[in-house]
Amino acid sequence: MSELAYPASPRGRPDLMDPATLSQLGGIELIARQVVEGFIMGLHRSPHRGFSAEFAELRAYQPGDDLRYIDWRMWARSDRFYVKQFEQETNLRAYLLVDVSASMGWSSDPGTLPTKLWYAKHLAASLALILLRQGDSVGLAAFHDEIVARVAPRGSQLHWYELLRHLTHLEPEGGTSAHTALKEVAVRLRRRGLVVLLSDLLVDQDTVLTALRFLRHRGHEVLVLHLMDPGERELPHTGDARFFDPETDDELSVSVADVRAAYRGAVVDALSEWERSLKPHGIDYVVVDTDTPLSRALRAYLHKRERLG
Amino acid sequence: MGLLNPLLLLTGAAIVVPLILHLFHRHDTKRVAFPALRYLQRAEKEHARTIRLRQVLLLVLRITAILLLALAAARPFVGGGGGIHDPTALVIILDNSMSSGRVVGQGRTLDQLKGIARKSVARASSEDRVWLLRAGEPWSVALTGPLDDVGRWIEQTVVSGGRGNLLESIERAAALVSGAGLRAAEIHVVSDLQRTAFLAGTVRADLTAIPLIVYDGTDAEPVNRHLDGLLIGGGLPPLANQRSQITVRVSGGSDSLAPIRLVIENRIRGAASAPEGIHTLLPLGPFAEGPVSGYVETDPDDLGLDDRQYFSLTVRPPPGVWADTSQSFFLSRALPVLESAGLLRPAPVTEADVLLAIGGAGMESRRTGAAAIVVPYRDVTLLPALNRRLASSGIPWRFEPTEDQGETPLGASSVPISLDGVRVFEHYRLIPGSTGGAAGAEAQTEVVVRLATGEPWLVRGTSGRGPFFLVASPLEPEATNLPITASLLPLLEWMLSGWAGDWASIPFLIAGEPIPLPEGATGVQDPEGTLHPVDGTGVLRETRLPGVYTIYEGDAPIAYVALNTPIEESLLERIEARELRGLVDAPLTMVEDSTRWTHAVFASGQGPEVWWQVLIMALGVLVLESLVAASGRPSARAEAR
Repeated sequence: MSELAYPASPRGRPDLMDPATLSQLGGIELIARQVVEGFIMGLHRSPHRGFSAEFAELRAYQPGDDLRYIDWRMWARSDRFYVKQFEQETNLRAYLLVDVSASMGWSSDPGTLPTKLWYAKHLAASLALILLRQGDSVGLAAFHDEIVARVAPRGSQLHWYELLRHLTHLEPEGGTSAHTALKEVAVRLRRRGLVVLLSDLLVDQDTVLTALRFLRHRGHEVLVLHLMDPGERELPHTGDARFFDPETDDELSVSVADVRAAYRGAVVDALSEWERSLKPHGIDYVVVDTDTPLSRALRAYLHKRERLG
Repeated sequence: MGLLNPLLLLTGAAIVVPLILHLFHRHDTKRVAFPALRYLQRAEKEHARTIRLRQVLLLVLRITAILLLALAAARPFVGGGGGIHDPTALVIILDNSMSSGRVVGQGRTLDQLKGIARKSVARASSEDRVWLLRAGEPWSVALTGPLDDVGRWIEQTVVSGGRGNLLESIERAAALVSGAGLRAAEIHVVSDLQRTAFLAGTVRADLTAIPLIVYDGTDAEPVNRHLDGLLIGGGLPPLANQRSQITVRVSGGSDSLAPIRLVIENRIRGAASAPEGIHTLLPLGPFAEGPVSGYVETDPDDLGLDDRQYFSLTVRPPPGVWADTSQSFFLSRALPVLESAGLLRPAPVTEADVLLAIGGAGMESRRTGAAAIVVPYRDVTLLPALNRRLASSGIPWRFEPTEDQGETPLGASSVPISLDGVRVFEHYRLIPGSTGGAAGAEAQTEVVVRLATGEPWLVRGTSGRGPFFLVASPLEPEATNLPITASLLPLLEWMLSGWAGDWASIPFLIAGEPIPLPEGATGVQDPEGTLHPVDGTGVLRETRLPGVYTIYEGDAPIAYVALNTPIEESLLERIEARELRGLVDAPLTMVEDSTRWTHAVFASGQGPEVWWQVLIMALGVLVLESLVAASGRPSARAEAR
């Protein structure tokens, strides 16, 4: 799976705050704005920058800039290096698929650690804001066993508020039938675009894989953000217990001490399987722990966006 | 190995705690929401074996730790194995009874037992007092002395033909050690633990403070073929020049036929083959008057002493018979026939062994000890005189006339002669008389033949003057058809020869038991030829060997006695340890492995305590348990969270 390098954590930047702290800042709108502002501010200091075909301006060369974009004429005239910057083009249609099944409403440390759904909603809002600022159009679909909310892709800045309105009202409920939602999206997206799936992937793997491959077959780019509560990577610090799945109510009695190591291995195996299954089809797969800052997932998006040009 | 605080071993019962937790705890646990249940199910499915193994390993480690801690608390010490012990009163009961002569491998059971007994002596110290008690020789005193002497006596112990009574030996041993006045006491029982050696009941002596160490290492009982049931004639010595028979039985063997040989004066006089459990008859004689000794044998097996049965008898002359035959035509014809056959000889009334007293004639002149066969006259008026003669002879019966006459067949009979066809037309009623009372008369007599009506017809008994027969009918054709049937002569022969007179019945004695000696005996020669002087007790106690013993008066042999092995010693079934515990209320230690004997004996020999070594082992197990348990703890990252 992709393990993105995470920069040192400067204080004060909301995109780098841990979700527990971030959730204290306010509502989804404020948090998403601050996260995106912080994130974009960080981007200016980094070699990453969007480049498109339409020239915009020149700026002084900085170490790390792509040599292809050095303006040699300016160098001939001024004996200084300048790089050309371009206005980004807006022809990308993005569709954010948010899993709102009951399992998404679970937190291993309620009161401190936000739920996976909280994380997904804020991540979706942030992504939408970035996309819209880049001039892309963004749509939204929330699903559990069925699609419970749908917003058609649009590119206006005001569209973000429409998206926020829907995101705010999402509640965890029901099971997960991601493949149904994905197929519906595939049908609706006539133009090729970017599909971002935000889910804990506690789903039937085969059917979801089939749906994602179908999206790729239709020419869409797909980014899967696998949201994981840290408590799902490691069993809780308890003795024997009867664990039950809030979606299916299946139950299993285990001695945690006996099964802990095996469980740890099972999680690693499952994540590896997802990656092995998705990568050969050109589907990006990033595991995002809900105790990590939102910028981690945003960077994953950025990588994807860069490749799309 | 011993324990100073054995009661603290009970703390080991705490193993029920991990057991209960392991078995039942999971059923009573909290319910936790966990969306990633599919990963958990996958982990359980793929690692079920490992998980189970870890649980079992933890359980075993926890139980082991608890048991080791309990053991350490009980303060174990190493005993035996060269440790010094308190001065101990020790009795070694060495079972040299007949069964110890069984051949096992290259040696006998006794050789194996002697080896164990030597180990006890080797572990003893000069401060101990050691006795050797030979269980197969009840007449022997317990031997005590320096350890070298005890070792030598063990070596000199040989197989006895007698029976081992281990319970009696243990009682004797308890008395010895209790009176020794030493701080510690032990009894070592070195035996093949034959069940029949414990038939005496239970040990009455207080053994609760005396450790009893029992060797239980001899192998399982084999099939043991042996001879028993030896009987000559009817139990009386045969008459001179008359054929007799000897009966013997093969027991305890397989279904195959066993050869049987009759050997007299070192010559085989008869042979047969017999299956197990069947009595076999061999012809015996005829012999001239005098002593005859011999034996019946079969092929020897692993235990050979019981494959031979000895006998010794004195052939007696035909009885001297007096009868007033003028009173009975048929008897006057029958007696000469028996005389010509050598079955009787005429004798004057005062010297006769048997009187045929018709109407009681001659009974006044009968010598003491002579037998009387009393037959009544037909004349009923003579009955009072007959009854007076009976009374004066001490015979507690009388004849009385009866109205119940008529032809009657004979009924129940214990006579070994066929009386079929014998009818009775006239008879008298035989009434137990007043001498000694009816009950006393019945007690001393036996009705050997009854009429079909149940009335006594032939009575046998013994009075103070001698034995007697009473016949209820006159021996006349008008009274019974017996005189004109073929049964008369055999019946007369049986009545005449069935009396021993002065001749005792054939004695059958058991090896190991004392031989009563006749007056005048001065010495007894055992079957190996050793002459034992006779002391004033009138018995010979040292009867270790089966065979024929010769009793001497001076240089002249005056009697012969045959001693055979006790039948109990031929039954090699072993007693179970739990049965033995029920018979002996003592701290009992059963040692099956001969190599462990040295460590089991001298329980007071406490070596160094080893509780701390056990404790270290317990701690080691606990560390191991912690390591295994730690594999189930959360990672550092999860702990940090």
